[in-house]
Amino acid sequence: MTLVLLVLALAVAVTAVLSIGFGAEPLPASVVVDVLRHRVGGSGTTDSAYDAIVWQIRLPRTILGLVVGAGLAIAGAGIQTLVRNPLADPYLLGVSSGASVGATAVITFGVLSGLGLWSLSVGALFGALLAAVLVFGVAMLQGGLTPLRLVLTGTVLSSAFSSIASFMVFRSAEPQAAQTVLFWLLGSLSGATWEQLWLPCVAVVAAFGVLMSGSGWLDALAVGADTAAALGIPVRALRIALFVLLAVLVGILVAVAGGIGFVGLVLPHIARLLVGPRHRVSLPVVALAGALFLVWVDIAARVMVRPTEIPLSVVTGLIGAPVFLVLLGRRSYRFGGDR
Amino acid sequence: MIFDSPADLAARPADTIPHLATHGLSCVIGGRTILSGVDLEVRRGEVLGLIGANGTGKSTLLRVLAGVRRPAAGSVRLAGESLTAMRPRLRARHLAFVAQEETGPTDLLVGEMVGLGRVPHARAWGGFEERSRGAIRAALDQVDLGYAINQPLDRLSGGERRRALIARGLAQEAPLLLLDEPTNHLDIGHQLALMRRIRALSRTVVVALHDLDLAATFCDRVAVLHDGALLACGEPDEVLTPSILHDAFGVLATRVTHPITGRTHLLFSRDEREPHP
Repeated sequence: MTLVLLVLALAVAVTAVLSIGFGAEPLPASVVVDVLRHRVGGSGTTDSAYDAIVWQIRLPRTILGLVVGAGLAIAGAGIQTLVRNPLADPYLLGVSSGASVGATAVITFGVLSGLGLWSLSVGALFGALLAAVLVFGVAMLQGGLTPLRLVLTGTVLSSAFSSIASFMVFRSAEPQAAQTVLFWLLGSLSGATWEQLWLPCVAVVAAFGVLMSGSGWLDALAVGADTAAALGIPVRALRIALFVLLAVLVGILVAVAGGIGFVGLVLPHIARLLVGPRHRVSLPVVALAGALFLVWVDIAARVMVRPTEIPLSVVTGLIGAPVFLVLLGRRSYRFGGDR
Repeated sequence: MIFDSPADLAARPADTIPHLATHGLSCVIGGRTILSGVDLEVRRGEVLGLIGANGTGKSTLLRVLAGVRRPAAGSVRLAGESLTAMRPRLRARHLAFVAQEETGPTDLLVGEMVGLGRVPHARAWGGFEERSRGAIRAALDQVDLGYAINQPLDRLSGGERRRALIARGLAQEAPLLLLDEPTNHLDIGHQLALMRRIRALSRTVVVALHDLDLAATFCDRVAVLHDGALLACGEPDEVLTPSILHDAFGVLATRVTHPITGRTHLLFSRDEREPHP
């Protein structure tokens, strides 16, 4: 377990430096290290053009990739525990389709245009949280946040939100709207700026801390609601807290990076395969693995068809689908006792 | 035999107050009355068997006794304290409930699953203490599963799994243990062995059983549930009588003496006069 963590942490560090070198203008790692040393340590000399590329453009992007990857992965692990379903992903709560309604409203009708560059993120966040509140309300009214209820409500409302977004695109006078919305939906880190970073960073670190501190409770919840209740866990309150935490976390991530698929679905399974299902050990692994994975996906998205960038979900799907099939095909791996 | 129990509960005189008591207990699920007017007392240190036909509310009663389900009316008192008012975490340190099996992630190791019993004792960020490790090992040893601590749960046999679940309850180090049909799916040898182990725990135990012979052999007292009400409660000889068993199960019971051990056993035949439920 410690070995897995060490290897992953090292890989994340190396990947972070390497990733800065990739892009329209490839930079050798030594230049990257020089700029970083100059900026952080105040030592050494550096070219101002390189400095701009590394510090202003690529470093925020890499950090956003690390944070969003880690966040989506732990959100996926959390939601799979909450609904006890191996096919659950962070967008099950209706958050991403809600965000797409918000983002589409911004793109097609210019809602919130007074906020300038922030309008898309704010619109998406607003839509995401509104959708989460709706899913929460409907599920609670119909009998509480039980796994089946959540899966059904989330799935049904998600498709309703998607329809609303499609309708807005269809009605839009903007000819480019469909493509803009599609590109946003499929996820991208290209807009990363330093100012944009702090909110997802805080959200991911806080969510990770909260989930780790409740790891024993999550283990029990994964076994079953009855077992958890017998162990003195307030199951109802725990489910509500988990829902709110995950909805806010995923809402923020979607608002800054769009609806990146597969990360939150596949990586929790990989982490469980590596270190077993106990949250105390699997959450750090899933966070690091998610960070590592998404940064490499972003590298691939940048270099596969230079100079254009591919949306991240295209890459995660291409990598994620076969990986997931291989995982499901393994006879030794099971989730929740289903063969 | 009180481990880790809160001082105010432990300090009470053990014999005067029943370990667990219900008064006028009723339970309604989905508009259907499952339990009504149950008055039951569990004495400290006894093994109380809970018997009754299918659907008479044994499992529901256990769940209410465990604080997992709230009663519609009436009260449950744990050593004199109201169970419903008690903080769940405190309750779980005093009372362990092992329900019928729930299937969680089966790639859990046996030791990890038993370790869930330490949740009521754990602190949020505190690592895995030495004390927990000891409790897990001791719990597994008590059900003779010490060898399986690092095996995946799904590699155990049915009997081993039942014992592992009970070990999780034991790892809670609670003085009161509630078991829902622990002998289910076990062969006769394992049933007898398991009941012998349960008796040897020297804790207060409430155990739902289907096998009346097991109840007669291993329980200090037996409570009979019928249609959600308590039909009888007392020592096995007083309670497992042909007339009570006829009322509870609709069968004719005959007592016979075992030719070798000299113990009393029950033989059953269907009552031809009334249709079996």
